[in-house]
Amino acid sequence: MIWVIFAVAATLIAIRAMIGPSFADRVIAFDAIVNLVALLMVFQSIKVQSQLYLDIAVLITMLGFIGTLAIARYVKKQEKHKWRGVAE
Amino acid sequence: MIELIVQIMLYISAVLSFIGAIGMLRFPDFYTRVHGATMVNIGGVCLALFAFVISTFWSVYSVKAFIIIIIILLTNPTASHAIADAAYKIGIKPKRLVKNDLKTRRHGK
Repeated sequence: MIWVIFAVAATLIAIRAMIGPSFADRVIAFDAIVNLVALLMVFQSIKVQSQLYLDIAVLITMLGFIGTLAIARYVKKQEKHKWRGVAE
Repeated sequence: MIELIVQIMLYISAVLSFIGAIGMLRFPDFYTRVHGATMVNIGGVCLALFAFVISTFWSVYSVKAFIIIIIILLTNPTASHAIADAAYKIGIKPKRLVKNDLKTRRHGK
């Protein structure tokens, strides 16, 4: 039952990542999906009573943070008129 | 008893993730969708990590879980703020905006 809720949540976020009108919606949606994968690793770690999966969780979380921050820093340095067609 | 508490916390975590996903799908604006994404991250992952801490009976391994909780609580608002700032700078406007304080301060004409 808990996996069904998790799968439906991931599907809804994936729909937002597909139909997102701007790039920022897609970036936020992919960040949420990355954190849901980390949540799945924590679930697996509780299920098998082991702490090895937490290493994967911290690595996935840090990779998602660095990716989001890199995209934000890259977009902020661009000219405003370059992104006019993409933003709206 | 411990397993029941862990199961309840995991269900609350999954339901919070589901509510955040519905919010990401149905909010009208980008700046409100950030709220849904942050609810997925903090409400889901941090609560599941607290469930892990309780399920291991406060052993040595719970230090690693606390480190991940601190990392998430530090990095997730930073990423959300950075992407919202970038989205405002390239011209994504909020809907139903009454008063814009940023227009006269930093990003102004």
